[in-house]
Amino acid sequence: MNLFRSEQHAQQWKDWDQEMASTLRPVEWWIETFRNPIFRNRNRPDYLTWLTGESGISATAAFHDRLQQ
Amino acid sequence: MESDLDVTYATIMQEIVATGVAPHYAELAPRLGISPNEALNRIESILAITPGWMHPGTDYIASFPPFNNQPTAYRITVRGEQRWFAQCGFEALACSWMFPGEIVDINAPCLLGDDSLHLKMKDGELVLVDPETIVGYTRSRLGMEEPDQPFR
Repeated sequence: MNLFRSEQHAQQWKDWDQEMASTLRPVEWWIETFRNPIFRNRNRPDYLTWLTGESGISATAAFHDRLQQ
Repeated sequence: MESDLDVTYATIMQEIVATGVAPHYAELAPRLGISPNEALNRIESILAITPGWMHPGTDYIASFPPFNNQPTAYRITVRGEQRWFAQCGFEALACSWMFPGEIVDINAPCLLGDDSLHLKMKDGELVLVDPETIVGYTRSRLGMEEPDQPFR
């Protein structure tokens, strides 16, 4: 899970795997992905209770759905 | 209502945010008023339900996302102090949530040896990106169910 200067840099990386090319996205897309509440809520005093509850499970599912886009 | 694990998680996270370093379980125990064994058990329980991990073969927290206790290429600077490392390039983008209202600088080398990468974020918003062509990429599967995958 790395950041690269450009698409060309990523594709020239020694560990580039064409099968995972769908994960190559502009950094803005990844920033939006990491706005999901499972990341935003880590400061909550009840974070783990929230994460394993209905809202957290729903947010985790939304995160997984976005990764499948 | 916070559970024991909630309190333990928050105590570890607050320590990392304040110092850049995760506490050892024996340091954590007196803060929570529990035995060292109980502190270690709680850490292991937390890491079983979050994408963090112990350094293999040790009782040391290696990763407690979005941060990493072990240095990585993703350096995090807040208020002019570079105390933190992000777990990975993606989790670096989530670090600003841990410093509300603060500018968070992310600096990383280019893995191909060109000029380094620099981003500034505040409360999840991108303030600066240099160069503007930065992309994210992973060869690891994300969001899968396997217990050894990140973001499970």
